[in-house]
Amino acid sequence: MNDKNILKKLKIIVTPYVQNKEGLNNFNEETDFLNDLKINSANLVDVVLDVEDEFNIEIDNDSMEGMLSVGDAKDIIQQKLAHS
Amino acid sequence: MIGNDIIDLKLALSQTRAENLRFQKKIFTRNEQEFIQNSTNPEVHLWLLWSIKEAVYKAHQRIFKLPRKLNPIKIECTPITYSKNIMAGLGKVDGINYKTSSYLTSDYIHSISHLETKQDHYVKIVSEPINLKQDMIHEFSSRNLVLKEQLQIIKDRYSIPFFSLKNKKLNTSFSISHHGNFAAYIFPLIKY
Repeated sequence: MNDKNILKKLKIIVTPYVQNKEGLNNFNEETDFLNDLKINSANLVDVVLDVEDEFNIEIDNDSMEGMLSVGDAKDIIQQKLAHS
Repeated sequence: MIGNDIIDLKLALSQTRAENLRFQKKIFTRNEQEFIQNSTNPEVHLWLLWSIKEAVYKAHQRIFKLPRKLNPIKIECTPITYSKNIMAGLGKVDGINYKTSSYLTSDYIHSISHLETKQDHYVKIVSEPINLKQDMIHEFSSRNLVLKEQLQIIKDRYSIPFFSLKNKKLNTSFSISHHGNFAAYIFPLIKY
C-alpha cells in the first residue's frame, strides 16, 4: 500500500480521538499525535488497536512504543504489511 | 522528583473498557489485569491503574530526560494498601520503584508518584477552567516564600518544563495533568 493511502486511512482512524481539530488541517508525517492533535495517551492505544484492525496487522509493544507521530505510524504499518 | 495524573471519571467511564481485553493487553501486565478483573468495579480500577502508570511515567521521564514513549506495560503497578478511597503502592519501571498514592472520588481519580519519602508536597485539583500555570506560580510563590514576579515556567532543551527563579533554573520538580473537566498539579514544599 502506498504512503498516501496509508495517511488517508490514518487520518480517518485518528479523527474521533483528536481534541485539537485544527491539527487535522495540516495532517502530514510530522504531525505529532500528542502535541499537535492532542490525543490523550489512553486514546493513543485505541488508535493502535484501530490501526491493527484496519490494516489487518499486529503491532507488538516494542513497535507501539515509538508510535508518536503520523510518520512513525506509517513506517510501522509499512513494516508490518511487508512481513504479513 | 514527582509525577501526577488526574482522570475525569465521567469522561473516562463514557466508554467501557474492562471487557476490552485487547486494550488491556497493550497496557496492563497479567497481575494488573487480575487486579482489575477481581475488583469490585473493574472500570474504575482500570483507570486507577492507568493513572498510576501515567504518574510514574511522568516522574521517570523527567528524572532521566527520556524521549516520550508509548509503552505503559513496562511500568508494573503493585497496590500495597487500599482503604478509604486511598491506595498506596509501588510503580516499578527500569528497575526503579516509585512510591505511588492514589485518591478516588466519584468524580475523579488522582495519582501521584515520587521517589523521596520525606518530602511534603502541595497538590491542587480543579474542576473548572483556570490558568493552571499562573495558579501554580501563585501558589508556589506564596507557599515557598519567593516573589511571584521573579518566578516563571520555562522548558529545557528536552521540552521538560521547569521553574525558573530570577532567571535561574530551579531543580524543584512539579507535575501538571489535564483530563476532561479536571486539572491538577503538584509541587514540593521547600523547608526552610
